Amino acid sequence: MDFMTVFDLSAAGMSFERMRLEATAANLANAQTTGTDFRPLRAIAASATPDAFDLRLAAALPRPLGATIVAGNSAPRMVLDPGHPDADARGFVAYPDVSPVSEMVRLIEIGRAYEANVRALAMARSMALKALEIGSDR
Amino acid sequence: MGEISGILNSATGELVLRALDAGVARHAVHAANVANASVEGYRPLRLEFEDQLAAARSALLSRDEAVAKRAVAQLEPRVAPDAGAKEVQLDREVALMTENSVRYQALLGALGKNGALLRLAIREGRN
Repeated sequence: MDFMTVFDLSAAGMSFERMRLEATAANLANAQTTGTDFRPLRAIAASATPDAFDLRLAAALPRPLGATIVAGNSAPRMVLDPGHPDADARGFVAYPDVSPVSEMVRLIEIGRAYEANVRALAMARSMALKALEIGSDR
Repeated sequence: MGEISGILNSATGELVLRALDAGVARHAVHAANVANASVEGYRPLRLEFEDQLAAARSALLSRDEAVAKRAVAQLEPRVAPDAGAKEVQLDREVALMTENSVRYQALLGALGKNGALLRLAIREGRN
C-alpha cells in the first residue's frame, strides 16, 4: 500500500468519467438527428463493493472495471412534422430520446466527479512529498 | 543509552509509523470511493483504525514498553463498507480526505520533532 495505489485508482476514476463525458457529448451531438439508428448512450462500469478486508490486501481496492459505452433502449421521440423529408407515412419524424436537461445535469456531475479525482490525486502527491521531508533541517 | 534508544525505538515511534501507514491507506480508500462514485451499485468503503486504537488504549499507555509494543503489533487497520451509506457523496469524501491529509501532515510534523530531539542530543545540545 503506497501512494502509487492512489495515483492508479484516481487515474482509473478519471478515465471512467471521461468515458461518461464522451457518451454525453455523443448524445447531445446526435440529439437532432433523425431516424432510429442512434439511441442515447450510457457509459457503465462494474465495481463490486467487497466485504471487510485486511489492509494488506488493500491493493485490491475496487476501481471501475470493464467500462463500456452501451446504447439505451428507450423508444425514439416522435415529432409531428409532415413537411420533413424523413417523415413517415403518418407525418411523424423519429428523433433519439435525448433529454438536453438531463444530459446537461449529467455533464455537471461528471465535471465535479472528475475534479474530485484530481483533488484526491493532488492530495496524495502533496502527502507523499511531505513524507519525503521527514528529518530534513528546517 | 536507555533514553536514546527510547527515542529511536519506542512504542510511541512504532505507533506513529502505524498511524502514518493507516493515513496512506485511508487516503487510498477515499480515492477509491471517489473513483467509483459514478459506478452503479457501489457502496463507499471506510478504514477502521481509531476504534482499535481506543480498544488498545490502556495497553498502549502502559509504562511497560513490551506490553505497549505488543499492543502496537496487534493493530491491524481494516477496510469495510460504510454501513450507513448507500452511495458515494463526493463532498463528504473530499472533506474526509482533507481531514485525513491534515492529520497525516500533523503526524509527520510530530515525527520530525522527535528526530529533532535526537539531533539535539547528537550535537550535544547545540542547535
